[in-house]
Amino acid sequence: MITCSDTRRLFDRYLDDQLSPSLQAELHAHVVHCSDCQNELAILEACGDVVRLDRREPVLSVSFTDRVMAARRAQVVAKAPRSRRLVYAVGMPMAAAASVVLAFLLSIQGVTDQPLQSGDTLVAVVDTAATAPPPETAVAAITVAAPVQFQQELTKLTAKKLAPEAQEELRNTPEMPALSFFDALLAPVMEGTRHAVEGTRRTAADLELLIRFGLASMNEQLVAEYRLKYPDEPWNAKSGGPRVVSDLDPLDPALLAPDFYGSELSSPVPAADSRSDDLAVAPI
Amino acid sequence: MFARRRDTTEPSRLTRRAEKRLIDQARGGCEDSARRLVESHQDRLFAFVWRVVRHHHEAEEICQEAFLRAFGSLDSFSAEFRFSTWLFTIAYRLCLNQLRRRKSLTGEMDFGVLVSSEPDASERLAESEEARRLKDEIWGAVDRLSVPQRAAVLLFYREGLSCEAIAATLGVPVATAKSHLHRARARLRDSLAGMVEDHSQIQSLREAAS
Repeated sequence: MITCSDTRRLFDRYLDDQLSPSLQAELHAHVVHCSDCQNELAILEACGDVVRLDRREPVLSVSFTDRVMAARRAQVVAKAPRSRRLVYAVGMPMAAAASVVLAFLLSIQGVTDQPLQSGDTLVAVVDTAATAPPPETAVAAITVAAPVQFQQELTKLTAKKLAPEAQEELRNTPEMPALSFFDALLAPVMEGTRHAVEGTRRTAADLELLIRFGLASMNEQLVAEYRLKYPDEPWNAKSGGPRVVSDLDPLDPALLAPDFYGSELSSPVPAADSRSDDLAVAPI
Repeated sequence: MFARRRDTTEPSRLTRRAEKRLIDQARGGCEDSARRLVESHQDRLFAFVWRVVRHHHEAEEICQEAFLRAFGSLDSFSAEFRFSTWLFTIAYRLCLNQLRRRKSLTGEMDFGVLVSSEPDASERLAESEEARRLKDEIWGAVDRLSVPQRAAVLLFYREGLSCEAIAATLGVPVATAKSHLHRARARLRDSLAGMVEDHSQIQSLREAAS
């Protein structure tokens, strides 16, 4: 018959399923007659049972799978070779145009140290979003620029990369009426950008907010211009113009998607230098 | 008393062959396969990550990041491992990063303020007060373990991993993984020794747990 201390030394191997049948039999024989060892083993087994079976963890958000898949799509776009991005830019000049504009605006305000590369489109947005500071800085950057500047900078940025017909199409972009400008150009960009940056951490809500805010003020200028230019357009009389969302307050906590920020809104995100920690334990 | 249960065959888990097929298809760009991989692992992964970081939002972020990193380097994934092991490995390292970051913000890891393990009301009614108290005591003791010890316990009991697989997931030698598990048990035993007054309480707890 083995002693109590022998028995307890065997508990781990027993619980790991690594005890030989003969020692298992010895252990069982001892535990049946020793209430101390019996209780100790029972506590350990109860712990295992609770950890294994008591599944009271909270549940994932309903949208989790969709968010992962959207972020993965953005990841695939970001990993596409440069030539493919060019095709994308030519194939969707409207969306590409506004993406470059946004990236440019983020970069001119010193929001990011990353220089914008010619031909960067949605990818540039993703890259800059990852390093974006609090939204108010970027919002200020967007509101100071005028549509004409967008076009000039856009042409400058993309001239070397885009095919002549695409450049021509981009040059024509400001000639669109304001309503269709918003719906055809800005809304897809907002949607596309939102998907694209969902893969980055806690910047999707920031970026969506600043895009909406910045584009709203841009939109207001366009509305004013086009009301003068096209007084008889149906959209002008019927709806009073495109959707204007300039009443958004970027600092209003209610707009900063509570689910996204959770309880951390009041505690700042760690400073950039804390990212170096990631390098110490690289996930892959 | 001696019937140990390590159920590693939940119905939702993919067979190895199905998993390999999905990975091959996802490598080829099949979105449906990638989605199925996410759906079949997300709940288990989230439960593990949440138990390690004890913060819902952070746990979701870590899970999302783990899936993205796994998909981002799917080409380098070796079929000799299970996808879940790989995923848990990535997630565990992200957890460590997150806890280190949190520590740098707060000066220390204080899990007490983050614990929000409030079970569903109907669930609470379904179990006896005594069983609930004992379960809470046990989870409290698990929460007080060190992070690698807690992870080892979760991977061993919840995921049914072997010590070798736990070692791979934690990125430590097998002997270290075993040591984490054994020290965790010793600490659990010590913190719970005064919890039960008689053996019948443990039996009722085990019955409630199952």
